Amino acid sequence: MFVLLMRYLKGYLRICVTSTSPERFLNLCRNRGILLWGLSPHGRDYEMYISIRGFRKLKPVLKKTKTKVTIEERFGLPFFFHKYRKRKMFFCGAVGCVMIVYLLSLFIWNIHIDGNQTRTDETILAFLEEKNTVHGMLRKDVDCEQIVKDIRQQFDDIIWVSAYVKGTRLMIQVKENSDTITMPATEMEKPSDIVADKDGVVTEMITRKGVPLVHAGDAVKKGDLLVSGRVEVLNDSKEVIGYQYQTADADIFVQTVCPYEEKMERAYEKKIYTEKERRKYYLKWNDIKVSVGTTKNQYQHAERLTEEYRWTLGEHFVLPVSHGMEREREYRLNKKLYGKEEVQTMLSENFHRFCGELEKKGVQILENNVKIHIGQNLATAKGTLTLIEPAGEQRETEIIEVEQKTEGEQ
Amino acid sequence: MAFPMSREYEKGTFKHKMAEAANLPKDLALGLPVVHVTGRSEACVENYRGILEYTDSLVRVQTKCGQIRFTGKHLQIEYYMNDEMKITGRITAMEYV
Repeated sequence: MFVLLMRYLKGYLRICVTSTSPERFLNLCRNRGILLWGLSPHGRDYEMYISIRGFRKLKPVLKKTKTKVTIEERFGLPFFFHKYRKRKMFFCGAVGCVMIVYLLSLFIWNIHIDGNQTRTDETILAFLEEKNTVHGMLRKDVDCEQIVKDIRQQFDDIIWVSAYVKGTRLMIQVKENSDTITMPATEMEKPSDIVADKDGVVTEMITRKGVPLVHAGDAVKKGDLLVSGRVEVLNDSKEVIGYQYQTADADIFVQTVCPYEEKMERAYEKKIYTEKERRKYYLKWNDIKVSVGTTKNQYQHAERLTEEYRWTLGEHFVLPVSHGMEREREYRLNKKLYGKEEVQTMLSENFHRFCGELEKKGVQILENNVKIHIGQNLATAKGTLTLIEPAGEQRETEIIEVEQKTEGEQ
Repeated sequence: MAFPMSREYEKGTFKHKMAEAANLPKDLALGLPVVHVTGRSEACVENYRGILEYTDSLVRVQTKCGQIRFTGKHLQIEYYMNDEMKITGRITAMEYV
């Protein structure tokens, strides 16, 4: 392969040799170090390949052996350049291309961030932009050590950073600390009570802070005080001498009855797309838009679809150019009626989705009395659900001033 | 073109004895030809002196120990260097003359 490439670069010829003693010609060539290859006899003549350099040394050999040589074909780069020597623009283009490739290789075209899980690429890129490390910057201006220092300083949870330039890419590898414990912000907590946010019967109650005012089995109404944040301070004679205020904290579960109702019209309109549509292709540069085609139409009903693609160079280098297509599709409305089974499936699917959402919130479903009625035009899912759900919301505790009685007054 | 045939390769000569004693390869010590034949289509000759005849059906090569004749059909010389040449084509016979 390499030999073929070198031959092509240096140029070679196919020659036809006519001689009375071709063997002598061949042996002389060998003695003078003239390389010949691909020898094949054609009647009394011989065809072979010879390099340009070898051909130049051939003259004395030809004279000595009285051999006649004709050039059959020329191959290689020197002949290619000679053939197209008048096509100046072609050579300018080739040189220009090499120069453009060189110029483009002076810039960073892609910043690749690897290993980040909690911090998004965008966050790190935005920070790097503040530090003047951006796409399109000169490669020689990239200070990898500074980038590493800056990232370590800015992000506490990033424990290891490596930055290096590979070709026209700036590769940043980070390692995040997965064991970081976020300390809750310490702030002065206001004293608060827990009040019921729904009617029901308390099934379970675990109080961590505050005074419980209800017990399991008690019926409560919305707004009733469940846990008080005001703890009485008593003296020896069981008199209230003051209050300690704190944020009430408790897990309270309440059994409630929740009504469920969903109505669904059986009649509906179905979109039937006709084959007619109008398209508009466009190219957008900031606010300048160049488009081909139109979406103007006389359709009675139509929907518009727009697809737009932002041009990016590599992974994150977003260019201010985008291309896209707008499409107006005509449709007509066809009135239809859901079948009984169809509407039943839809209503039960909705109900199951509702139950699933409740369970996600930690609500336990005890009883389900929802039934589906399908009428002529209307289908209804109606009934009640008995639930055990977490209850209680925080409310500010009322501060009561206690008159301090002095001993003298007593 | 005639090449004088050397007798150095023959057994009993001083050079041969020296080569034997030193356990040297004969192609290096005495310049004897080495012929590699691959199937019927390729033959590689090293340490040759020159080509005596070259046609479509016969290639005669002069070596230190005499001539080697390659007969066959569509014989071509793939390459032809100072100490090595390669013959391709359909080789039917190779003989020392």
